[in-house]
Amino acid sequence: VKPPAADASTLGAGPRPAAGGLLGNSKLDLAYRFAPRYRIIWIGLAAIILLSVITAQQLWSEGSVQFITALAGVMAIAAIGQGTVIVSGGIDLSVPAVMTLGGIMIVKLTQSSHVAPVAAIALCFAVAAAIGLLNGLLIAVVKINALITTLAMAGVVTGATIMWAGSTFSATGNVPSALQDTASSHLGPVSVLCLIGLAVTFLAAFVLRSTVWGRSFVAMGANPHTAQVIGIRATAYEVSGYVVAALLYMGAGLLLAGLLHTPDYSLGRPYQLGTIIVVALGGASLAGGPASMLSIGGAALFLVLLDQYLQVKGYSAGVREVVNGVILVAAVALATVGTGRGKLVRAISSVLKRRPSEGASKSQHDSQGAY
Amino acid sequence: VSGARFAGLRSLLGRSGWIPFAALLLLMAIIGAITQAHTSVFLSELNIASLLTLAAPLALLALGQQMVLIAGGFDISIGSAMSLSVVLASFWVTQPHLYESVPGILAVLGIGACVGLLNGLIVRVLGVSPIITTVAMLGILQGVAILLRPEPGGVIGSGLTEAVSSRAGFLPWIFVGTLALALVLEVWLWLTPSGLTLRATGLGEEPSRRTGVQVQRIKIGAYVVCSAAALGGGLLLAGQVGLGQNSAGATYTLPAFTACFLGGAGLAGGRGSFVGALVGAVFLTMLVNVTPLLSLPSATSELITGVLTVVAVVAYSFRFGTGTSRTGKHHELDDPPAVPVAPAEVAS
Repeated sequence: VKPPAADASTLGAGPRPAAGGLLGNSKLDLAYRFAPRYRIIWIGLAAIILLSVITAQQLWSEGSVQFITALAGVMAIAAIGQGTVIVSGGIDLSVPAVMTLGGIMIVKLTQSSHVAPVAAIALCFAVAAAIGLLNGLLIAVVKINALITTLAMAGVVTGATIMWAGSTFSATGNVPSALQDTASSHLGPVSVLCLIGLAVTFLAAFVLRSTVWGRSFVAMGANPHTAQVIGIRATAYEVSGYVVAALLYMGAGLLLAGLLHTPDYSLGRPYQLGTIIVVALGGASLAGGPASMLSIGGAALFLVLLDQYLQVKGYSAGVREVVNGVILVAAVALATVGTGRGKLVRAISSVLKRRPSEGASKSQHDSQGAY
Repeated sequence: VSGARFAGLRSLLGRSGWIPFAALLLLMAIIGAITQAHTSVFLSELNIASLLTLAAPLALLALGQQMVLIAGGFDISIGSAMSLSVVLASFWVTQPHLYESVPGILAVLGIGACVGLLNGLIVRVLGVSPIITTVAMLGILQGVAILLRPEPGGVIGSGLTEAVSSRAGFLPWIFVGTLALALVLEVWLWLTPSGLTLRATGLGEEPSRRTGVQVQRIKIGAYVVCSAAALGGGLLLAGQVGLGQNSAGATYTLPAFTACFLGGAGLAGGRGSFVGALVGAVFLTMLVNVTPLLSLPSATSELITGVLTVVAVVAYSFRFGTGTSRTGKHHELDDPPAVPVAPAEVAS
């Protein structure tokens, strides 16, 4: 409902129609939907693109762009999963374990057990759903801390994967050729994985924004107690978030395995820290509640591009890990500072506020004296 | 005064949780008996000595982590801190005699204290959640370790390696030292006012602050102790691997947490036992030790550690009647609604 433009000029600051309210003002509406914390990553993305266009043109050759967009697509899918969990107020450290499991499972099933690729993929997703369900039940029903549950789950899944496939599982097994072809195909310079990542990102944004499930889910993440009170089944929604996330990690793992052709146990390793950084850069609050899935998608591209840029510039893996860690702290610290929630900022602002309030009390005192 | 002492002692025996402690020892005895029946190697002097030597770094790591957990925080960067310690030791602790390596060892511990201080300041002063801070620190420390030693290299001095491997019968001296440290910390935690202050801070930050406890100082101090202990554990590990490797400590993060939870800690803070964490660490090392002896695949111990973590947390949360906090998130840091509300809106 959009109030007529004349409204503001004729009524000035008078009371607005009840039906209008906050939602009626399109500018405020946009500021709410696309708060500064969601916008900052697009500036960063523009900056890194500009920087790489000027100083690292080899990044923009067709093959390189295909590779970068493929990795960004995989990162986006995994990060949307992590984002779903973080919106619900949790955190998931089992990302690399599930992704690696996907890569190992698809090879082992199709090569050693001769399962048809489609059936093998279905089986992979079924196992992922079971892992997600177990995570969700332990966290939402038994009420164990999300960090510990998923860290332990990562240990269990990794241990089980190694026991099943054998610790000598070598990089000789190949992913089914259909999956390889899908993952390696591209539309011009853009990898098909990037298009899948885009589709997942837009779908996630649509679901969270425009469906009952999504809105209830976000409400639950913002405050589970209130959500419960207004009739949302908070526990069921929380569990479902972990299942969706595990399915997305599995999808990302399978696509990455297709891209790599011969996956090994290190397949998912960069995605533990990576997905959390991407979600934090996308402006999501680590305490749960609303997040912009589009910004998370943008952040996935940013992180992959930055990593490739540093690699092209000849920086070693160590430097890149340090940069990632610093970016994570800086992003979250900036977000904390930006909303004035940090203790330092609070302390500074209270010091700054003290002066005018003292002045006010003084003038009050003076006026009382005069009275 | 002596009455108060006895009350403290009673609470030490009563509340620091001797039942799970006894259950853990019983479980260890059962697993030991089964393994011994399977192969007589298990109870040989050499095997027990190697088990306890391997347990010492993990135990030291768990003691530091337990400190942070009791103070109501946590630190996931300890594994990387350990790796960094091994790498630093390969540069600084290369002397043939232990007394010559003292400056190097102190320097490594000093770096640990600095890392902990950084963690503590980011968490407590900048207000970033401990999860994010320490996950990021994990990446940073790992990165620095890779940067300093891209490939394994740099021999650790025989001063440290000999000190780490020296033992009296089946008891390695480093384990004796860690055990003594755990006992001292346990007594400190339950029988001294400052120990009580630490537990109080973990149980309720705001009430503690109102009764005049220096909450900020204690919490930052706990991070400092934790990181210093992690780098100390890394030195013990360095003495065993003998070479600067940038990923030596990577697998220690989960077992350290598990050891703490087996030792009665909860993420809500305020509870936990140092001796319990040490026993937990020995138990987990024992699992790694017996799997090859029972000819099980080595990944079994990793799987069991994961399962045990969950079981321990669930068991303790039922025992104390309260679930641990759901996500460990800091409600004080929750986002205020990001709605820019103009005064006119408020008026209407």
